[in-house]
Amino acid sequence: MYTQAQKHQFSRILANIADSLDIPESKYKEAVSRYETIGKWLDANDSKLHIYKPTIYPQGSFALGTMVKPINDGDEYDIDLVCHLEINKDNITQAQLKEMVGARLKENETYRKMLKEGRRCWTLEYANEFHMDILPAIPDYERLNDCILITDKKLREWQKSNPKGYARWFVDRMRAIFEQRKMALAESMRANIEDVPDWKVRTPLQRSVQILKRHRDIYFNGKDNKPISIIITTLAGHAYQNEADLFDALFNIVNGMTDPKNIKGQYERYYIPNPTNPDENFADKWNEDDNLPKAFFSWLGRLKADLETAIEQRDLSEIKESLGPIFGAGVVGTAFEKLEPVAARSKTYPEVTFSSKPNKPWAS
Amino acid sequence: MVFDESKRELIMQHFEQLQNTFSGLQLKEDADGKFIVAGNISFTASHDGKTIKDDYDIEITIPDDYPQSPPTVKETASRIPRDKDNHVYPSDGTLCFGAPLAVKRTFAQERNLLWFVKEQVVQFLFSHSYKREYGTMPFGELSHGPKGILEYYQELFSVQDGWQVLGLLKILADDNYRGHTLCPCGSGQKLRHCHGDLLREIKEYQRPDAFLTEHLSIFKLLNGNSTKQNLREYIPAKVLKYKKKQKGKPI
Repeated sequence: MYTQAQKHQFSRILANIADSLDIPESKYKEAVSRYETIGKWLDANDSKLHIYKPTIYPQGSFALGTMVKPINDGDEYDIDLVCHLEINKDNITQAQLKEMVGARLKENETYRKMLKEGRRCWTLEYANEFHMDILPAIPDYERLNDCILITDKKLREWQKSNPKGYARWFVDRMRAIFEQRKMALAESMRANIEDVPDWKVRTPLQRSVQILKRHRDIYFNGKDNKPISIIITTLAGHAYQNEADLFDALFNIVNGMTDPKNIKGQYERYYIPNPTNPDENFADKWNEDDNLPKAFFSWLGRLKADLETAIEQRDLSEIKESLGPIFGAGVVGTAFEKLEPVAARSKTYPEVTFSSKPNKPWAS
Repeated sequence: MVFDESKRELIMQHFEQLQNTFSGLQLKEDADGKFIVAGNISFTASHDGKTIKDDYDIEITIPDDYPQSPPTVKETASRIPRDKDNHVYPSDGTLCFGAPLAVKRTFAQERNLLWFVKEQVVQFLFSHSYKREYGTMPFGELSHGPKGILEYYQELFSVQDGWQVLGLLKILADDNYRGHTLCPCGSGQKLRHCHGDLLREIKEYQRPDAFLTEHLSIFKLLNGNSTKQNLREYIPAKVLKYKKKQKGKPI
């Protein structure tokens, strides 16, 4: 059993943990300015890509507001970017597209030194800062708005994707609370709501995803079968019911994520569809390797037990001790530092002396 | 709306005073206009050189006739089992700080929330923590039911004989104070020189009906194992009148 006050306090601790997992605002702005510079380079007048109107936009956790600090302090943040070119797929091959983007990046002396080629993307490694994964893409004219085709060195067919659509779905899952938080933020900044950028808002859904991912990163550190972020994010999105309180949100999400209706398809196969494309099954590999779902469920069970243990602790130092190993001592330490001033104010034990003759308790 | 403007003002003022000491409490107004003070109350208190530092989640309901009647209080985190042994009314979960008159009398010393919370709520919670820690109730406890009420009055009136307690309660139940009559405590003195002042004080805290109810419950308790001859002497006039109407049914 825990009290409302304990719950409230736990929510604040969790929010602080999520905060310290998040990419700091200065880093965020730096990342945006870095990829905007990349975009300008690709679209410069003397660029061969210029005629294809290249654009760069973020996808994945950077776009969703669910970034998580790497578990080792020196490690870089991964930022996923789409590099979109207006080309019809009938006029280009996957290899040509990949090569074209790579060639233009290599024309820049700075980028050339930082560039690495991956299976589906080019990676610019900004030492001690970011890994910018640049995914070359072209429009998918057969499907709706924002659907794209992407390259994969190992596959013959163009791969379909829709990062913008997914981001819209994710925001829709937290629409009510998102607007509410944005409004509150505008008030606290004494700004108009239109002037508050979306990336400044953090909802309990976003924070829950951050907490889940962090727990996963530490739980699977050095182990195989780590569940992929898109599965965690999608299942959390389904389970979230616009709870305003982070504690409520996280517990409901952890309990709701295993709801078979979001995990299982026909014939008891694992089926976690991309909400914007039912043909894409994020859990495809689960049906080939039984260890993957097993690892997912045992991790989630462990997370649940860890959270329940933590909330049962009576005082702050015990909570801190129980959260340290599961989220990382550094992150938890920062979270508690931010908590102390307010906690100290709300948790005083005023000295009470009884001045009247004490009554003896009774019962009817 | 239950409370008029000036009453609301008073409650707000009392609450502010309370919150200055117990910062974990919040004042809420529910849909019916009722005021509730809820939240976490933390305190340090000592008895016999033993110190307790603890906190509880509580909910204080301000009664409609506040500050005439004292508030009622529940513990909301289920730390205190809802049973008589822990001095909680099982039916509604309110804490029982003492005999009904004792609660009213303590409250009447200073009719405000801070006083009430310090002297009754914290004292009660302190006792609960203390008992868990050291095994005894620091300020004692009353027996359950009428026996406990009797114990309370025996102590209040400083008389041992239960029948003498009834004699005194009869005056309050009948609302029939006569200073020149003999004090029922057996001192041989006139009431005004004996228990008179006390009776006149406590009759302000509860209505004669409430004293009557307490009187009858104690009467029932004593009469069960007694062969008292002059029973009628102890029965409130109100009851005798009522019984007369009922045409001599045995008491």
